Amino acid sequence: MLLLETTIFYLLLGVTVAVAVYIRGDGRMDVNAALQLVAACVFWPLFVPMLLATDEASTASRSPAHPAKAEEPDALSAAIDQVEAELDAALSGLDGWAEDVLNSEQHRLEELRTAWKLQADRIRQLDRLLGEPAARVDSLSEVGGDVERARQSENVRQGNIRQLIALRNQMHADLVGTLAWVRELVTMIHLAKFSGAPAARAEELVVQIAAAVQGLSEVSAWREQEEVAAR
Amino acid sequence: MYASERVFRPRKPPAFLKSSAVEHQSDTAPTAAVEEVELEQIGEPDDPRDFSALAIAELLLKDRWRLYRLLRVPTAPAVLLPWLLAIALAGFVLFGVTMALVMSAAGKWPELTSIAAWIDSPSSAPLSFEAIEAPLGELAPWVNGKAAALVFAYAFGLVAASCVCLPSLYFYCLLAGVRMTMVEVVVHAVKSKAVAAVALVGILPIYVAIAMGVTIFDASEPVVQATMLLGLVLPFIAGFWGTAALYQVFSRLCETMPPNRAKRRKCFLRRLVLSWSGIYSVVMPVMIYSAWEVLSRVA
Repeated sequence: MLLLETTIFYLLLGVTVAVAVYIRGDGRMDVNAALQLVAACVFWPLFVPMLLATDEASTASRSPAHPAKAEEPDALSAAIDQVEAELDAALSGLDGWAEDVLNSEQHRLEELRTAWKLQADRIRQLDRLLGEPAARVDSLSEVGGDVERARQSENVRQGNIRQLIALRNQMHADLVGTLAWVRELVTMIHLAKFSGAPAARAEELVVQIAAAVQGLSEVSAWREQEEVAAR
Repeated sequence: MYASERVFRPRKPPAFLKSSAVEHQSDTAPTAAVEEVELEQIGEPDDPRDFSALAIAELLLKDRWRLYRLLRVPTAPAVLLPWLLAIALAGFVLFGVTMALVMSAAGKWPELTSIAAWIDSPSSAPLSFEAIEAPLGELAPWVNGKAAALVFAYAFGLVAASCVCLPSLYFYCLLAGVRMTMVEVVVHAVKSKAVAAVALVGILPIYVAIAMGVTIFDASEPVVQATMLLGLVLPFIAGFWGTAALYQVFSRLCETMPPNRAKRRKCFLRRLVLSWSGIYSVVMPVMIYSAWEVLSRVA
């Protein structure tokens, strides 16, 4: 009898959770949604944490526009944190093995970390800019479609937006590529240390990591040159 | 040149790194020992909604690192949890159906004693294989609902045991210093179930071949019973893959801690994950057995 009562209460809770999942969903009722509701009813403990979590995940999953862009800055920060932690672990694990070069490159290593964060900030700013309605909605073309000058301006505007998107993608690729490159070098430092390599090899790897900052500074340099030219 | 030096020669730097300090030297050929990092794998994060159940199953088999990255996208749990659960359930249902087929073909069906009765008088084994004796012959378990009870007990028990153990896994993570939300813990636990289910489906054909061999060549009674018993514990064997997948996730999260803490906590976390696996290994068989025994009685 105890088992029957437990089952009844379990399924009652399950039905409640399934209803909550349905209400929180997008209102569709196809085969997938029906299976999800059955799963929520039977395995409700798995669905409860999602219902109690903040609305961010579920609302984001429902919005069709710009799928992963809004969450990307978080992903970038997480990636930077991870690479920084791995880099710290590798450098602290050197135990004075390549101390001279580490001291001399300390400044550039700091610069590298700052460059990562700045780059991530710029990407976020561009994402925000490109996510604004002005960058997507073309309301002027409706009213100024027959005006030649307005049409030309709109073409130029669209071109500029495309350039911004290309620039953002380039910056993203640079950042992610540098992070991956540094991770690779970090593993090589570990490999060098544990395989009994000469200290010169570790020094070379540290220099390479520090030099990665130059890959990121290209866009910044381009912007600085533009500013100087403008003056 | 040192022997080790050849192993860790840096590979060609990415094209965007223009620094002279990282210019590639032509004689520094990469070797097989250095596993190359594919930059494509670390590109823009994927959109979870682009993945169907089959695509996720493929990731579970071929590219778990990409799935791990995918699960870190904040929208992922809501989208991927049902798919991962579906994969896990599909694998376990397939296992249940296969086991029912194998036992029907062998003409044996397990008779279960309730746990309470067995604790009261533990003289005989809680599970014994009896010959199927019914007018319908080997089809009887499929008609009287015993096959359905077996399928449901395994599919439900394997996942429900995770539900029971989830809070302890969450607190273990907090104890180890890994900052995970309950949703992340749930999604990684279900992912480990899906990994176990895929592994189970992978080893199932080998088992079926063995079981069919035992049946066709009319092996002795103890061999038949041992083969049936082996089949019933297959999900526990496949569960090791799931546990390993879970541990890999937590190890990676450990790497995001500050280095001085990560070193200390990693060992602690390893023990906690092992402890959790221990709890799970106790809860899971009890859950499956109880559900199976009750449903068999009802059937």
